Amino acid sequence: MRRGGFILAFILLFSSCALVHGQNFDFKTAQDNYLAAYNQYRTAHEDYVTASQAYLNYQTLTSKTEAFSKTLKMLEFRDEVIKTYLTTIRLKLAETTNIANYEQNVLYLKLDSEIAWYAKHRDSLASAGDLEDLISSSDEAQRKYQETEIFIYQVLGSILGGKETSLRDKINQNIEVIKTKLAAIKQTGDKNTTTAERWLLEAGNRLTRSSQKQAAAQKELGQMRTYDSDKAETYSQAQTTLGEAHQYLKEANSNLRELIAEVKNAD
Amino acid sequence: MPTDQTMEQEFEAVPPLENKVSLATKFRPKRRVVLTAAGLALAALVALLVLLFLTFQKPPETMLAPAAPSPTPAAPETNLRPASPYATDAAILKIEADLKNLDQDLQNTDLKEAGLNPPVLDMKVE
Repeated sequence: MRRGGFILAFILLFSSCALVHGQNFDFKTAQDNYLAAYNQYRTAHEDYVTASQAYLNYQTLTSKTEAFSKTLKMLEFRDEVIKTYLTTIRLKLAETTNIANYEQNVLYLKLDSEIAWYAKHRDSLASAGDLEDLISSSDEAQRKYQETEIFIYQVLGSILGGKETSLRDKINQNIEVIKTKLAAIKQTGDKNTTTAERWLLEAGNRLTRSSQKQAAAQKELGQMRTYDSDKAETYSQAQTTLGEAHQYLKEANSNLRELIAEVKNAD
Repeated sequence: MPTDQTMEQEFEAVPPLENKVSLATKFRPKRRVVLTAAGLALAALVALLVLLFLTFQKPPETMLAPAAPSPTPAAPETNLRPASPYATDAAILKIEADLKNLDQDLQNTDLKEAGLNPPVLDMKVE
């Protein structure tokens, strides 16, 4: 009897592990889920617009019932789209390296909280008794989404910033290796390293500039407010600033390549 | 009468007929046609010669335009300098390769991530 229970527990444990492993829920899967939900939402939204228009025109009980069911369906899909979208950027965040641990953890917690809110809101929609209830629930989601939008752009900014930090770290690593090598060359005295050191200094300056630009981009995103009419525009400006930071990284790497060319040539 | 006198004077002023004959009337029609044809042929010949002259005067590079621009010499000024003892140094070559790879990464980095932009949703239900 005890042996039978042990075997059963083992089988259950094995099957649950296999299930989790088999799902392999990564960014790509999450993105596919999100896109599927978004397609369903668009169809539901078209149906909602048609039913809503019919109700406004005819004002019959049938058209009201139809408008209610289509609105409910559309609102459920809308919550699902936001939920799956937030899950997608959560997994993208997990894939992105070089985001500070504390920052990543804060974002995870906030994302989980947002996902839970939209899941709960979606489930609560079914309890709506009439169209007015649905409109009230929709308004609630609308107010919430104004805050969620800001958070979304902060997460996107962190993802892009993480990419930049990763590239900058690689350049910094190369700078350290080059510094060591230049010191060794200087010690042997068979090659003048003055020009190479100047290139190194230039590369360092470019890195500093890049960091400053990245900080400016984060600051721009931090200034976003719930009442801002065009948050996408603010995000676009931050992206442009981040592009300038990236340009400095390119220049830094180019300076290092010049340095190597200089070292390879005789004085 | 004074009128008759005037008329006589006018008739006297008219030159004789043989003096008014133009050059054209000097040649017969057949000969005129031949001369015109010869003139036209000569003009065509001159035009052809001018055209041929202009064609051959053109520089050869404009006549034979290459399909693709010729590559610019990749040898920068630095390569003209003799190589240092570190030109074949393993550590330097490794750094050079790393920098080249990093350059590719920098070029290929997508800083827009348009696929991650938030969905467009109708949040106002009435």
